Amino acid sequence: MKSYMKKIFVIILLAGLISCSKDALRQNDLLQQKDAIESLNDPFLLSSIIKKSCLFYQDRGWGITVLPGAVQYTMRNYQGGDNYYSAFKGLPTDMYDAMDILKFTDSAIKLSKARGSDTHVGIFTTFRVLLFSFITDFYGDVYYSEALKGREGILYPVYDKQADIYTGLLQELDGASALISSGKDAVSPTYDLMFAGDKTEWLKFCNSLKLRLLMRASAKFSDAGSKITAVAALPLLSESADMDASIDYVGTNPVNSWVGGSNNWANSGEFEKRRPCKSLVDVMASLNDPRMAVWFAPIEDPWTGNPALNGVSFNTTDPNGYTYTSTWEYIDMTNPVIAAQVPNILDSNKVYAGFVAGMNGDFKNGNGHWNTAAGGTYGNFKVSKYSKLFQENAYPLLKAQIMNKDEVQFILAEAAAKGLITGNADTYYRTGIRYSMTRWGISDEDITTYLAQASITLPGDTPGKLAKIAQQKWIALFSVATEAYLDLRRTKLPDIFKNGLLGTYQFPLRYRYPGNESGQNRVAYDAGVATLSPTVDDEFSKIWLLQ
Amino acid sequence: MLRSGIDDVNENYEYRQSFGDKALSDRSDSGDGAFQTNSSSSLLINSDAILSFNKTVGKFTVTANGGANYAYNNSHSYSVNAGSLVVPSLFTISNVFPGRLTADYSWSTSPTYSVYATADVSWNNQFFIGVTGRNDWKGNLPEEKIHYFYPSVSAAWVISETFHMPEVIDLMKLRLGLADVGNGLVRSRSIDTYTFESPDWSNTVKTANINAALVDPHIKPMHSITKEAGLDLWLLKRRLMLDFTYFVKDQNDQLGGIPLVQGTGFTSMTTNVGDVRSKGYEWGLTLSPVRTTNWNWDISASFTHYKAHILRLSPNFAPKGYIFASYDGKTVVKIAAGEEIGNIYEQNPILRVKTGKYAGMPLLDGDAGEFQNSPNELDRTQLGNYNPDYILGLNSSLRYKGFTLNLVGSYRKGGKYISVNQQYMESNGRAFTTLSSGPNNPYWKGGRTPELGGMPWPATGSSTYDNINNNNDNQRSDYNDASYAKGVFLNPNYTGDPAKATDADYIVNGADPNNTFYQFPYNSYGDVIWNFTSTRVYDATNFKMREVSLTYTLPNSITSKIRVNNVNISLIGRNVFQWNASGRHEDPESAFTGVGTNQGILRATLPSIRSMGFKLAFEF
Repeated sequence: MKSYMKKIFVIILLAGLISCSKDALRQNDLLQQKDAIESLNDPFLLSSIIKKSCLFYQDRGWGITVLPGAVQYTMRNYQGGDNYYSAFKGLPTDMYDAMDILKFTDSAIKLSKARGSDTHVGIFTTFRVLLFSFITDFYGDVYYSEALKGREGILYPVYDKQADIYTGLLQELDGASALISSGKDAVSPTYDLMFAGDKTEWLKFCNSLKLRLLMRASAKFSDAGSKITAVAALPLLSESADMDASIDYVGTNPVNSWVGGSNNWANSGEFEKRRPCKSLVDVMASLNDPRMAVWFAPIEDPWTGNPALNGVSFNTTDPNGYTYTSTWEYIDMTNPVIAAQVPNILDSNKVYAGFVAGMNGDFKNGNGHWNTAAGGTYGNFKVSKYSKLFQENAYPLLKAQIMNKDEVQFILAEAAAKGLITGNADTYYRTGIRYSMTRWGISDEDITTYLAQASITLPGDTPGKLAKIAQQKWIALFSVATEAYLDLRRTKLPDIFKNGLLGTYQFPLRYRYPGNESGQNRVAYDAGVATLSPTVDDEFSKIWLLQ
Repeated sequence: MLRSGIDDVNENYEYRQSFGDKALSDRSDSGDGAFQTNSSSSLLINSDAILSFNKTVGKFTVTANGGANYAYNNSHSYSVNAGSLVVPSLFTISNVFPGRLTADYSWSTSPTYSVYATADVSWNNQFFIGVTGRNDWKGNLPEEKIHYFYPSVSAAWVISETFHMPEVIDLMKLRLGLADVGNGLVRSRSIDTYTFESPDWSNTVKTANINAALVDPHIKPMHSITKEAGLDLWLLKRRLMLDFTYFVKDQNDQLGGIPLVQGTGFTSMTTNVGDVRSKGYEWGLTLSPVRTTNWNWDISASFTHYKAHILRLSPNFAPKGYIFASYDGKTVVKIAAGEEIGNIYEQNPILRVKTGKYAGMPLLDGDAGEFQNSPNELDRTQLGNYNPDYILGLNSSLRYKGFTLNLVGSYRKGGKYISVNQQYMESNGRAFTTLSSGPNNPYWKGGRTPELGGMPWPATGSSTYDNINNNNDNQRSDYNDASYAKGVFLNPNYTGDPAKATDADYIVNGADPNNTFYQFPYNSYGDVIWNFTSTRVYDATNFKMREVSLTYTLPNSITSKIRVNNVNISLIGRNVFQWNASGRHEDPESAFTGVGTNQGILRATLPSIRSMGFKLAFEF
C-alpha cells in the first residue's frame, strides 16, 4: 500500500514539474511577442500616421457636414442643423480625436529617435505640429507643453497660451525641416502613402505648413512680413511637378474608401441629403467655372420659363463620363401646386442649382420642389445633387487631403497683395487657379479660357484684390473645409455671412471645449476660458488669433 | 489528499450572413453578406495537495487543513472573417470579396500557485473559532508576478449550550466573522503596444494602432474586508427558525480605471480608485405552522437590504473631488467621496436659468428655441438610484399526504430603472409619446394634430423678433402641428452680459404664440429623447410569482412493487404572474441581470418567459 502511494506521489510530482516548465508557459514566446508589440518599425509608423491624419482631415473636410456647412459648400436637405452652425453649440470632441493621433505620433517620435531615424522624426514632428495646430486653431488655449505626459505624472495638464503654442509649433517645424534635410535614413516608397519616399517633397510640405500657420497668425506677429518672406524663399509645394499633401483611396473596405461610396453609404440616403450650396453654385456659374460639371449633377427636373420645353428630356455626360437624364418642367402658373411654390423658386432656366444657405432643418420645398410624394424625405428634383464622382469608393480625383499646392499659391498671392512679400500677386493667384483646376482634371485649354475672362482679372485696389483671391481660394478649398473655415474666419472673405437665410445667425468663431475639460480638468479649463474675449466658453468668443 | 481536475473546452462556430442592405448595383463594387469561422479551446488543470489533522483533547476539538494548489490555464482562439462575399449566400472563405479577409489568432497561458491553511478549534460544542489563511502567486513573466496573502477569522458561541434556556428555545447562537480577501490582477505594465490594423490599408501597406496603458506605479492589491455579526435562533421545536446578519463590507483600494482627459495621452489610468463601504442586513425566517402526519406547511422568507457609499477617493483622482464617468452612453455616474453607489445622472448638463422667478427653467437658445448644454457638469439632474430598498423572497410549501403545493415568489421594493426600450421605440416613432407631448411631459408641448395638442403655425412674419420669424417661417408645415420646447429664452434685443440678465430680460417660450420658437413635433420629441433620459426612468418595484407547482408523490407501497423509487408527478408553472408598480409591459428585473456595469439599464432584453409544464420523475 505504501509503495503504491509513493508511486502515485512521484507521478503527480513529475506531472507538476512538467506543467510548471517554461515550455508549457510559453514564456519565451511571450517575451518575444511583448518585445515585438512594444515597438514598430519606421515604415509602419509612417503609413499609420499619414493614414490617420489624412482621414482625420478629410472626415472634417467632407465626411461630416459641420464645416462644409459652415463655409457654405454643402447644405443638408434633411436633419440640417449644420446649415446654420448647430453643431457649434454642442461640445465637439474633435480635440480628443486629434489627441489620439498625437499620442501615436508622439510615441512614434520616441521610437524613431531611439533608432536614429532622423528623417522620420522630422516627418512625424511635422504631423505633430499639424495636429496641435488643428486643436489650438479650433479651441484656443489648449494643452501643449504639458500634453501627452501622463506617464510622467501629469494627469491634469494645464493649457498653454495660444501665442506660446504658435511660437512653439513654428520652432518645432524648424527642427523638423532640419532633421528631414540632414537625416540619413531612407523613407520607404511603398509605405510613404503621401510622397512615395521623396524627402524633398516632405521638406516642402513642412515649409508649406509653416507658411500656412504664419499666414493664419500674420495679424498677431509684428514681424509677419519678414517671417513669411523667409519661408517663401524656402522650397514649397509650388512646382507643377510637386505632389499634394494627400493620399489616394484604395476602395476595398469602409476605412480605405471615400466616404460617399458603396462601402460606406450604401443605401443610407446620406448622399441625397447633401446638396451643393447655392452660394457656391451661383459664384461658380457666374464665372463659367468648368469645375461645376465635375462636382455637381444636373438638376433632375429643372424649371423652365419656356412652355415648349415642358417635359422635354436631355442627357448630360460629365467630364468623368457619368451620365444624367434631366426633364424640363414649365413653371405653369395655372397649376395651383406649382403656383404655390413660386416664392420658393429661386433658380430657373438653369441646369445646376444649389440649396439655399441656412435653410432650416427639414425643408422639403427647396427651389420649389413640389413633388414630395415622389421625392420622399430627402429627395429634391429641383436642386442639384453632387456628381456621381462622389459616390465612388476610390477614384483618382478623390483624395484624403491635408494641403494642396494651390493653397500655397493662394497664401503667397494674399501675402503679395498685402505687401508682406515682394512677389507678384497675380502670378501666384493664376497659378493657384491653374493647380486647382488641373487637380480636378480640367484641360489646359479650358483653364486658359477661364483665366482669360475679365471676371477673373484682379482689380487694382488691394481690398478688391484680396476679395478676388479669397473667392478663388474658397472655391479651391472645396472638400478641404477645415482650412476653408479657418480662412473664412480670419479674412471674413468672401463675404457670404448673410447669404440666404443666415441673416439672423451669427458665424461661430471657435469650438467649445469638450465636457471632460470643464469636468475633470477644471483648473486648466478655467484659465483657458479666462483668456477668451469675452471670457465665456461659447462659440462666439474670440481666441487670441482673432483678438 | 491529492486531487487533480482537468477542464477542456473546445468551441467551433460559424457566423453566416446571407446578404445585407446592399443594392444589387453595388454588389459588384463591394460584395454583400459575411462569413466568419471561429475556433477556440481552453484547458484548465487544477491540482491540489491537502493534509488534514483531526484531534480531540478533553473538551477541545482541533481540525486543521493545509494545502497547496496549482492551476494552469492554456487557451487558444482562431477566427477567419470574410467581411463581404462575392457571391451572396455562398459560405466559403475563398468567396471573400477582395480586401475583406481578416484573420485573428491569440493564445494565453497562465499559472497560479497557492498555499492555504485552515484551523478550527471548538470547546465543548459551545465555542468555535476558525482561522484561515491563503497566499496566491500569480503572473507568468517575472515582471508580472504578484502575490498576496489573505486571512479570515470567525467565532461562534452557542449560548443555548452555555446557559440554561427556557424550553421554547432550541438553539441560540451568536456569530462573528472577519475576512480579508485580497485581489490583484497580475502586475500589468505601463507600456505602449502596437497592433496591426485589420484589414490592411492595401495589398502592400499595413497600418498600426497604439494601445497605451497607464498603470499607477504605486498600485497595491485591493482588499475586500467583510465584518459581520449574526444571531441564529430556533424556537418551538424548530417550528420557527430565525437568522439575522448585519454586515459591513469594505472594498479598500479598489482597482479600477480613473478617466483622464486625453491631453495626458491616455483615456484612463489603472490605479487604486478608493474605498467603497457597503452596509446592510439580511434576515431569514422559516415557519412551520402545521406539522401533522397528513399535513405539513413550511413558509420561509428572506430579506436583504444594503447601501453602498464611496468612502474615500485616491488623492490623485479628480482635483475637484468628483468626476462623471460615462455609464450606458446616455447616462453618467458620479464618482466622488460620499456618493451613494447606484445613483445615475443625465448624460447632458442642461443650461437653466440660475436666479429670479424663472430659476430652474431650461434656458433655450436664441436661434431656434432649443435646449442647450451647460458647461458646468454639476448642472446634471440625478435620475435616481438603481439599488432596491429591499428584496424579499417568499417560499411556501404545503403538503397533504402525497400532494405538495409549492409557491415561490419575490418582491423587489424601490430602485429605478432606465428603459432603453422606450428610447428605441421613441426614436423609431413606435411609441404613443411621439404623437403628442402628453399630460405628464414636462419638456415640450404640442402634437402631430390639433387633437393631439398640435398648435397652428403663426402667420409669416408675425413675431416682433427676426430670429423667431426666421425659425418659424422656414419650418412651417401645412398641418396644425406646431410644437415648442418649454423654457425661457433671452429677449433677442437684450445685448448685455447673459449672466446679468434679470427676470424682465427673459421671454417664456409659448406664452405668446407670436413670439414662440416653434418646431415640428418630430424635432420636439427628438430633442427630448436625446437630452432627457428622465422621461424613461421608471420605478423598478415589482412582485413576481416565480414558480407554482403541484406535485403528487406515489406512495411507496405502489412503487416498491415496480421497483422504482420517488415517483413524482408535477404540474409546474414558471413566471406565472408579475406585477409592476410602473404598469409597464417589460420586466424590471432584466435591468439587473449580469454583474457590474449597466445595472439599472433595461436594454432590449426579452421579457421573462412563462412556462407551464408537466413533470414525471422517478429513480431506479
